[in-house]
Amino acid sequence: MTIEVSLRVNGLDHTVEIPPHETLGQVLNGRLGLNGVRLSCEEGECGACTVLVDGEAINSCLMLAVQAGNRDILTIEGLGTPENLHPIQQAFVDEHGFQCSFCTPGFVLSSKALLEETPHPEAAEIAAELSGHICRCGTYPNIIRAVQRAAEELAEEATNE
Amino acid sequence: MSDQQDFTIVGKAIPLKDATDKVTGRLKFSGDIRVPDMVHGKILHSPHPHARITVIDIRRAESLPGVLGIVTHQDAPAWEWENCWHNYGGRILDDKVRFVGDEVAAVAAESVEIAEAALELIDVEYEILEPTFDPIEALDPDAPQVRAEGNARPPTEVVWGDIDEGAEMSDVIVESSMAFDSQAYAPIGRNACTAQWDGDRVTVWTCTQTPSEMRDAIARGLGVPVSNVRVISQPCGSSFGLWWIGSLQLITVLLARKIGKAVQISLDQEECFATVKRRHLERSTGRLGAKRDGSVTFIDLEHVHDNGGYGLKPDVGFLTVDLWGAGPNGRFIDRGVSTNLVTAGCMRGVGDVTMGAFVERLLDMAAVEIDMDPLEFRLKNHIRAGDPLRAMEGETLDQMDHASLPDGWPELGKLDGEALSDCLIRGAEAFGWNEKWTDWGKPSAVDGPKRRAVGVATGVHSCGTEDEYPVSALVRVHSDGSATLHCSMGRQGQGSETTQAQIAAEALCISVDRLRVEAGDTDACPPSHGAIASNTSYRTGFATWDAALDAKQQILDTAAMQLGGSAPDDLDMRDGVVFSPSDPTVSLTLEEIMSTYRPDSMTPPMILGRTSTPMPPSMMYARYFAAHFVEVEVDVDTGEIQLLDYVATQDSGTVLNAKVLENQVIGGAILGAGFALTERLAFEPDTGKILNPGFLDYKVMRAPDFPIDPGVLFGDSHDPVGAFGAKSGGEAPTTAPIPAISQAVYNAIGVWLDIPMTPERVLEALGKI
Amino acid sequence: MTRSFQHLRPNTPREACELKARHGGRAVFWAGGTDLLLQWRRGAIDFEYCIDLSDLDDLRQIRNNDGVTTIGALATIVSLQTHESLGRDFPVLLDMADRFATPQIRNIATVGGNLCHGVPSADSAPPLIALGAEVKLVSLERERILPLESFFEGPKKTALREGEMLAEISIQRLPERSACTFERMARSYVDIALASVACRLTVDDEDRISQARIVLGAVAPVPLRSTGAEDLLIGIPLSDVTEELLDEVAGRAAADTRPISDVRTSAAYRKHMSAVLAKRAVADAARRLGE
Repeated sequence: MTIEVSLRVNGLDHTVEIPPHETLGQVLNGRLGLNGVRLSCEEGECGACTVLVDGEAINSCLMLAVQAGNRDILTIEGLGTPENLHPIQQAFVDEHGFQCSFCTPGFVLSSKALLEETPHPEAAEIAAELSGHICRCGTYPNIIRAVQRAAEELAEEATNE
Repeated sequence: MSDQQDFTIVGKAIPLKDATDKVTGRLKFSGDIRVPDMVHGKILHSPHPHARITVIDIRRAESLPGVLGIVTHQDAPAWEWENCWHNYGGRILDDKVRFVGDEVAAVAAESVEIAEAALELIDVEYEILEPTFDPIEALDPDAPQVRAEGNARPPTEVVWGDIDEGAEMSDVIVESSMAFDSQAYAPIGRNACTAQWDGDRVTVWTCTQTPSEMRDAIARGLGVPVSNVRVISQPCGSSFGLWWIGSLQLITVLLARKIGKAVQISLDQEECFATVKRRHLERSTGRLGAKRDGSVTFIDLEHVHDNGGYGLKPDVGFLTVDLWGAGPNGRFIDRGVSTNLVTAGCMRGVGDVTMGAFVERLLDMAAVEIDMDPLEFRLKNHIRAGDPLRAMEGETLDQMDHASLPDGWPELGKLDGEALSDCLIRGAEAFGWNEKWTDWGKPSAVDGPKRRAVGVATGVHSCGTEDEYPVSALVRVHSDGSATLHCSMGRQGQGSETTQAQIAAEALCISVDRLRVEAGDTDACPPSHGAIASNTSYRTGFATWDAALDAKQQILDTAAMQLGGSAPDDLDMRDGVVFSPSDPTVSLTLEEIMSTYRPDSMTPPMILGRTSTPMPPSMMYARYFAAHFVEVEVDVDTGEIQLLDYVATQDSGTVLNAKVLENQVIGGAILGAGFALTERLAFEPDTGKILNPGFLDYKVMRAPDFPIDPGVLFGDSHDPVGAFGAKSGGEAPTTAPIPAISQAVYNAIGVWLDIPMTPERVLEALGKI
Repeated sequence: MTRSFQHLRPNTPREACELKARHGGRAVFWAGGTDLLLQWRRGAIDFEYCIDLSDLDDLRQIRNNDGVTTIGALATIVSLQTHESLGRDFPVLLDMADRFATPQIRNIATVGGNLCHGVPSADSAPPLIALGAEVKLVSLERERILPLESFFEGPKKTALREGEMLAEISIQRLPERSACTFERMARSYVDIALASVACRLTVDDEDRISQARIVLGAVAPVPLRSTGAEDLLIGIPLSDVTEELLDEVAGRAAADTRPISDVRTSAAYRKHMSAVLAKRAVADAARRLGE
């Protein structure tokens, strides 16, 4: 048996017919083709599936899709474009904040939530706030540098506005 | 080749060539592949560690609506496939199962849910056989035999000098043993294989570090010509040795052929952790002798590693025998033994992580006895350029036709160069070693239950191997002057698409932005040894450099022909433009050259550079080295070990891209540190089933678990053979963390521990529990 | 054919209880779902109806009335961290929340869900029990209040009877001179607790300990108060909280534990750690009171 769920993803409205047990991650990745929502451990440990729901970072593998109905969902696909990267993405590129990049969408989105909450985080704070993400390639130091660089960029942008 | 001129693009820390795809999430991974009309497969795994399949009845499963077909051992060829480096030997599907999780059958269905339901309907009867789980027990001839040819592989032995003489001349002899739990690759990315037949041709999309080898294996196993098999290697996240040739791919190909439709089998987290491969369970025992002046007189060690159900490795690859082989006497023996645990094989750093850590421990114990600083002890004893490579002595060198070797090759059997002293000395300075080092077994600070101390250790690995497969690359120059580099190395995230592009662009004298890398399509790439044994920067890099130089020469020859009789004989290229130092009027862009007809054939030119220079056998002269420094704090009440500070140094020759190499060095350090402190697979005692097949209970490091601002330094050296002087990068960093942390823990609390050094082990060693 | 469940979404707590009364054991209350979803997927539990509590906004609130703080069962862990005054009134809840799982999980997981899952390692339990928290259980028929320490009956077994829902957790304002601490031990930065201890001490005007609570997590079938250890502290002047007394208290607390060995660690390690953490938690509370 299926239910109808309406989701607002990256500013666009979608309606899907799904069995109730499907998770937000399964719908975003499997049905809406948003492969940047990465399904890995599917038990809330690795953080690869992280998306922002109303600006909060959550494991999309743990939230039922139906619980995300009528809330604003942001995936990596909704943040910047190849021609026009978001400053956080640009900072990750410049600091080599990824190797295989499987974990990268999650890290970038959580960084966005973090910097909105704390515009000038210390390195140790960044590490703690991103502890919900595993990078098996071990890129943590450059990820932290990327977030610090992004913080500077965003602060400068804010001053210029 | 190795002059230290300024390079145009080699040595620049440019962003990754695929950075935009990666940071926007657009990079497709093997599980993202969609082929029209593709169906889905799932694998049935054995619940038993050791059993014979007496009956396998698929009728109930086959008749489930939506099921398209099932393969069992009855569909599999009798042929036993072998993975690279003896990492697997067995049938695609067998009537015997050898570990909990072993593949029994595979179902293809219209959806994953239907395939999963069908698995429950496959009726299997097993004759249970006695299993064996402990490597030492499994060595006993009376132990249950996992393999038809017996559990024990012939021992690998390296001997030089005379151990007894060495013992005689020693002032101190230390003895110890060290056990290593099994580390898991624990990838974040999961792998999938999609296979589609078209007549007797098959296309396979999957993640593999060894696309060429996989292609050969599929051709052999399925009985089709190699030319009929196309493997398109996809990213799947990190690999570290997990994804070479595999049962996953061979089963998927078999299933796809049976049902006549494209099928995708995607492994879940538990399958990736528990049913494919892991690092071996290992144990080292041995002695080391030294003189009071700090020179090592002999090393004598025995090692055992388990191969799990299907591994066939006679040894774990231990170049550590070279690193410390300068002494006069040595004996290293390694034995591989089969057990009814999931297959064990090569994981990043291999025996240089385990055996390497044990040798470093023996060195430390001897240094304690003669009261010498561990840094000084290592500086005194490590291998130097020109020293013999003990691992290569004997048969390998003897088999070669030395008379036929080209001029200019390095002397085989001897180390061609190292910057390990440089790394140790500069690393010590950056770390503040002299300020932080107190004395053996003495913490530098005590605060309540906390003890601080430092440690230093070294490591080594091969710069790739000539064994099993040559390396080759192609460089195609296109009509607009852009180029493509084809080299079969897969895409695992080490940044090799970028560094190989830098090598090619440098040699070809074009902008790296005008050069694309094709790293995984075996239809496009010439066969080449995959990204294993630290091949890529060194051996694939050589092949790339050679092919790019060939392309450049073809361009210059073509330009000369186009310029006609007045062509100067000193043509060269820079930034995609052919010029002449002696004649400033000569200036031809690549695009112009490519669009100008050749005066002989009246066609536009074709520029196709290929590797033609054979590379000297790297195992016989090249090594790269790591030296790591760490400060730890041990809590003697809780047993916790915190890493406070870390400096990783590495001798990788010319640094192709400092940010890429920095990530490989720190990434390797984190992987090694994780193994040092928390990573271990737990096996159920009665079944060998893995009890922690996932991140919940297999603890890998997260950002707060490792120092957030570690230091990274590169040794000052340039290899005479490697492309622009570069050596390898990815595995040596994994070898030094365990011994460095281990030494620091000894200095903090006076105990030597097995790996990983869990809090329980710390407290047990301190007599607290 | 595919295993699934029906999704129900009540608008009020009463409606939620009605649905539960109607479907009984075939229905579960679903808050953040972080534990339930995984258990269901593994086949560890089965149900036909998911009563999704997402719309019960009233149960999400954290309120302070007349010296009683009420935390709605659906308050997320992150809301404990962001609430304007909770952290000031009960800093130990911040200590606990700061180390609870991961930031992503804190955004979804609820206090009520953490308690109702009922595992002995539940991080919210020891600090709340140490604070003397009470829980309100509601059903169609009635409401009842229980001390939180009586809520746990066994691993994954709580005092919830059929048809009952945990509605809120309430904490009385602590006496003026009180301190509450929380220590936990795990294998790495993010991990389920191998052992945890919360300690609350209150002293009177003469600096003598008048109330003590020592609560241990993950080392017994339920979060466990060690009244034996607590009794050793009652009446003791702060200045007499010596190393020796702390060791005695810690030893008594550890003696009450009944830890298990599992894939995470051994019973011996858990027992040892319960003493180490108890000592640190009590010492830290005493130190704060002495300042």
